[in-house]
Amino acid sequence: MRMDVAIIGSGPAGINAAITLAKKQKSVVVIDEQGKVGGKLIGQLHEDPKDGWWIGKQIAEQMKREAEQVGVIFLLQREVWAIEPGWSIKMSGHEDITASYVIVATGAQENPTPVPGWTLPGTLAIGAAQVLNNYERVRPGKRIAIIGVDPLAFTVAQELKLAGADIVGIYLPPEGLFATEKAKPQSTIGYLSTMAHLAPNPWLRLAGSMAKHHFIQKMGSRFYPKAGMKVFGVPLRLRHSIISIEGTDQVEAITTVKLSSEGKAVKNSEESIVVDAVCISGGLVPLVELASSCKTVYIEELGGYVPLHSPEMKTSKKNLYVCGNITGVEGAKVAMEQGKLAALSIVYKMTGDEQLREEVRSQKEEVNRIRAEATITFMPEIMSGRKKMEQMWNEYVHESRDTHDIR
Amino acid sequence: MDCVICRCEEVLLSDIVRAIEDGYTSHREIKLKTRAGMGICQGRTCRLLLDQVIASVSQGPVPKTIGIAPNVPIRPIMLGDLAKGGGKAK
Amino acid sequence: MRIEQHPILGPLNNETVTFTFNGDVYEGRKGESIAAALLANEIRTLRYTAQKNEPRGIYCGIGHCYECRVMIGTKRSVRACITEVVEGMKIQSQGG
Ligand SMILES: Cc1cc2nc3c(=O)[nH]c(=O)nc-3n(C[C@H](O)[C@H](O)[C@H](O)COP(=O)(O)OP(=O)(O)OC[C@H]3O[C@@H](n4cnc5c(N)ncnc54)[C@H](O)[C@@H]3O)c2cc1C
Ligand code: FES
Repeated sequence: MRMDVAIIGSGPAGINAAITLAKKQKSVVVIDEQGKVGGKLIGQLHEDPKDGWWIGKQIAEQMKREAEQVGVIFLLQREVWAIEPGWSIKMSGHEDITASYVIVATGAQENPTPVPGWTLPGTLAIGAAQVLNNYERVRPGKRIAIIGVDPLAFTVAQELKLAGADIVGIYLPPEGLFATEKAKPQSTIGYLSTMAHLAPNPWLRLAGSMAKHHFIQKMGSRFYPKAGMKVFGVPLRLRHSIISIEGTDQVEAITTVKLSSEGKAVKNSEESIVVDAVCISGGLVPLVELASSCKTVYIEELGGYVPLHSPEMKTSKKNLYVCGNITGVEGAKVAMEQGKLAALSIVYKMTGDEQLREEVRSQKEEVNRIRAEATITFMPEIMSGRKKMEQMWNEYVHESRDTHDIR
Repeated sequence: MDCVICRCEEVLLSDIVRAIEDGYTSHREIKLKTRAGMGICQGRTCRLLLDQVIASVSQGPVPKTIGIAPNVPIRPIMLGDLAKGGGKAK
Repeated sequence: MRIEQHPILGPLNNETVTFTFNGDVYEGRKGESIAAALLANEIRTLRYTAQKNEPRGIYCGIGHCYECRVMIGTKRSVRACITEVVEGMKIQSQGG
C-alpha cells in the first residue's frame, strides 16, 4: 500500500502527528513494535499541579480511539528494521509499505548501568518497574531498592509507594567506569540543586531544595547526613552506593557501602540489606537508530546524539521528519505538541497553503509554551539544548543552501 | 568490580578489558573477539556500554559512533525477511 | 503482588485466564502480559542461560533486551514482557 505519511512509533508524539495529519485528509499509517498504542505513555502516573492526575494508560486509550475515528491505520507488533528513501518502510514479518513522507518518532531508551548481580531475576530497568506497577498493576516487589538519583527514579519511587511497596532507599550506583559523575555524592547534590527550581514533581522539588540547603551546598557533601534524608518517607542515600545485588535464583539482598564526601568507598562499611527487587535508573537517551541516515549531532543538553532538525521538525533527509523524544528527552506533553508540529509542517510542505504556514508558526509557539510550563523535566538545560539545535540547523542550511531543498 | 556487560552472550567486563589489552580496540574487533553485542538483542542493551569501556580503557574520548552505529537491519529479524526483502502489507 | 486496590487507579479488572508454565497451572488476568502474570504468581526466573546456567527474568520490560524470552508451544523466543497471556496458553522455559 502507498500512504501519504508513515509514522514509526505510536507514543504521544507519533499518535498526535497521526491524528493531525488524518484531520487534514492525509492517509497515514502508524507502525509500532509493541502490541499496544501509546509508547512510554502507558506506564506514566503523576500528579500535575494544574491538571490533576496524569494517567498515561487512559490518555493513550483516548488518543487511540480518536485516531481510529479519523481514519489512522495502526500496524502493531511490527518492528521496523530499515527505512529507505522514497520512502520504503521495512517491517518484520515479510512486510513493507511505501509512503511519500516518513516521521520517525521512536522515543528514548534507558541507558543501562551495570551493577554486579544485575542479571538476577528481580532486577529491573526502572521503566519495566513503571509499566508493571502502573499498567499491569503487578508490584515488582515488596521491599525495593532503587539505584540512580534522577527525575525518573523519584517519579517511579512515588508510583511504587502509591501501590503500597516498601522502598528501602534511593542509592547511588557503584563507582566505576559506567557512572562516573552519577556515583559521586557531591556532583549528585549539585545536580539535584539545579533541578530544584524547575522540578514540579514534589519529590524532586523537596530533594532539590534540601540539597540546596546552604550548609550542604557550602560544605559540599561532607555534612550530608550519613543516614540519608527522607523524601516523603523514602530514604535518599546520597552517601551510600549499592555495590552488588545478591541472590541464588533471584534477588535476595543488596550490599551497600558508605562513601566519603569525595565519593570513595569507606573501608569495612559494607552492609547487606534484604530486598526482593531492585530498580536501576541510568538516565534516558534518544533512540536514533532508525534515523541514523540523517545528519546527527551530539548535544548533551538534549540527551546525546540526536538527528539534526529544523524548528519545524524537518531533518537533513528529504521528506523525513522527527518528533518526540528522539529529538531530546522531555515529558509526554511536549512530545504531543511536537507531533502536531511535525504533521502541520508536512501538510504545509505538501500543499504550500499560506493558511498552514500560520498554523505551523503558532504550533511552534505552542511547543515552546508547553515546554516552559512542563511539570516533568529530565534534562535541566533543555532550553539551551534546543537553542543549540536551532543554531546548528541554521548553520547547516547556510552551508548547504545550494544543494538542498530546505523549505 | 566485574559484571556482565552483554547479557545475551554472557560477556563479562573483564573479558572486554582483556580483549582491548590484547589489541582488539575497535567496537567491531571487540565484538568479533568476545561476541559482545552479537546476541539476540543485537547489542541494544550493551552497545552504549561497550563504547564506554573502550573510551575508558584506551583513555580516549567516547567514540563518536556512540548510539548511532547500528547496522541495517537494526533488529534481529528473521533471515527470511532479509532474503525476501519484504513483501506488501495488506 | 497484584495491586487489587489503588488510590488513584481504583479497583482492578478481575476477569481471569488459566495458563501453564513449565507444566504447572496458574491464573492470570485478561489482557496482561505473560511477564506480569508470572510475576503476580511470584515467578521471577523465566529461564537459565546456555553457557553459565544463570537465572534470568524480565529486565527492560519493553521488548528490547530479550531476557524474558520463553517458548509458547513450539514457538521460540517469544518475549514475555510484550506478549499477552491468553486462556489455555502453554508456556515453557527456554534454554539459552
Ligand atoms: C522508561 C521511561 C520512563 C518515562 N517516564 C516518564 C514519565 O513518567 N513522565 C513523562 O512525562 N515522561 C516519561 N518518559 C519520557 C517519555 O519518553 C515521554 O513522556 C514520551 O513518552 C515520549 O514520547 P515519544 O512519542 O517520543 O516516544 P515513546 O513514548 O517512547 O514511543 C516510541 C514508540 O516507538 C516504538 N518504536 C521504537 N523503535 C521502533 C521500531 N524500530 N519499530 C517499531 N516501533 C518502534 C516504541 O515501541 C514506542 O512505542 C519516560 C521515558 C522512558 C524511556
Ligand atoms: S524484558 Fe526485555 S525484552 Fe522482555
